[in-house]
Amino acid sequence: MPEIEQLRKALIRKTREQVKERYGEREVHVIRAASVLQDLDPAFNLLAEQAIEWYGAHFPELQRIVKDNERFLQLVSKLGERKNFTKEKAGEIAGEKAGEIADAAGKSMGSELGADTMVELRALASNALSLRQERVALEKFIDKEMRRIAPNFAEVAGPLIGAKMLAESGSLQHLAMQPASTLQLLGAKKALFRHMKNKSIKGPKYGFIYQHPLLHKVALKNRGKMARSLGAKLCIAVRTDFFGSRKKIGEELLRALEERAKQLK
Amino acid sequence: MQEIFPGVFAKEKMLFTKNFAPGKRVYGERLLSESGVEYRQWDTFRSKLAAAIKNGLDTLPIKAGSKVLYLGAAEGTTLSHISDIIGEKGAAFGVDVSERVMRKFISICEERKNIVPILEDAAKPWAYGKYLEGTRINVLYQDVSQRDQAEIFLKNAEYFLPKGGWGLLAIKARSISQRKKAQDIFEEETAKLARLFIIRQVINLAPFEKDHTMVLCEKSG
Ligand SMILES: C[S@@+](CC[C@H](N)C(=O)[O-])C[C@H]1O[C@@H](n2cnc3c(N)ncnc32)[C@H](O)[C@@H]1O
Repeated sequence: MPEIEQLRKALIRKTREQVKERYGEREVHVIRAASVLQDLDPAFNLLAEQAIEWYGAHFPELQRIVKDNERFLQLVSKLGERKNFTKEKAGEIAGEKAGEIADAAGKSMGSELGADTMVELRALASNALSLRQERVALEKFIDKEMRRIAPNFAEVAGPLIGAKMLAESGSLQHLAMQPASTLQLLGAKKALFRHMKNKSIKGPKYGFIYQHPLLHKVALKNRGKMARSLGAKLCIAVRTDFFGSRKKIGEELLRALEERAKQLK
Repeated sequence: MQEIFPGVFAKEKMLFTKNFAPGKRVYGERLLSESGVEYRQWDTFRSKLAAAIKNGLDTLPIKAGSKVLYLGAAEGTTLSHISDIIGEKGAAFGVDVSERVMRKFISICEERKNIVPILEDAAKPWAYGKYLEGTRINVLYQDVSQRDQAEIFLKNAEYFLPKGGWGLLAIKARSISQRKKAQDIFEEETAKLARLFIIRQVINLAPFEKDHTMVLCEKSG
């Protein structure tokens, strides 16, 4: 079968190109970014906890006053030793709490740290903080990319939720081929499995879209209904982006959803 | 090893095919050598065709030399066993829309000289008709888990399958409706096929797959 052999070779080459092309251009990078984003917060928290715990040896009272990890790390990285925690300097970061902080620094029960240790600690704090900056930058990137790749879908879902859904399903094409009910539940795999194993546990009503602001504007008992409407509109949006004319219908869909949310208040 | 269909073997309740690409695995399956021949275990939980055979398929239209059009190739798990069965003189065309699964599938096509990849939507047979012009297809196999699976199957049969050609269609009830009873769905979908096919056998794939059947049919018109 020499013809089939030739055809096979040609089709392998062609398919390779097609895969490469589709992979190279569209959604791969935003999918990566969305997956990194989901890892960034836990990574930040892990480092932050370590740094805060460590710094506690020097200035244990600070933990009780400053609860926000990011703020705490900014203080450590900028000011270092607690003797630098004057009302004025702490105020630049911690605002109204500055007085309390300065006061606590004055009568702290923490031990003195060597200069080397302090260098390490400040570096750790500022590295952890850089993960926060990375997150902001990544969110901007995702926002821009999602609006380029799937403008209607990004409009209705919100770029971040949209990106998570896209990452979960693997490609825009796959996403566009899902029924509305699947979009509604995308990201609820664990809850779905729990329900399938044990039917007495209620099935989930929403996955990633749980984070959608409109879902929180309706009465609790109506959330399932709202989620269903949202799933349906997302389905239209993503299909228009992938198969359709790329006509701009996102705003219109979103307005319809806002109306629906008012009814379900 | 006992040969239960030409090219399909059974031993200790497990199914095997002769490895057409000796030494190579496709999806982590077991390799077994016996009297100088290497066999690959055919996992009934991973392949619906294996499940259908296990559950009593009467006729296996896929045999040495067959020309198969396979819709929903995915990563080529089932197709790799079809490749084993059809051998040197056979050819199988694997169609799938997803570039994600295609990447793996292409590498399998490179290892096996009798499978050809086609990255297209099976609902648009005209898009790949040109590749099949020179080949007389004997068997149409489909497993796409789509709502309009019966329509896709019929459309492809109209395009590519001559009278007397065989069809194997895996029907997934849950792709069609979440609410209706699986049995009702199977009956409705099978009834649609009667337009072009004589239904030879309908096999439930439990316990290997939930709410799935395999329909074996022969083209009448
Ligand atoms: C359940 S998997 C098939 C598994 C495969 N038959 C096996 O046993 O190794 C279904 C596949 O159908 C593909 N598919 C779904 N809709 C399709 C369409 N319209 N055209 C082609 N492929 C499709 C999906 O990308 C997926 O890879």
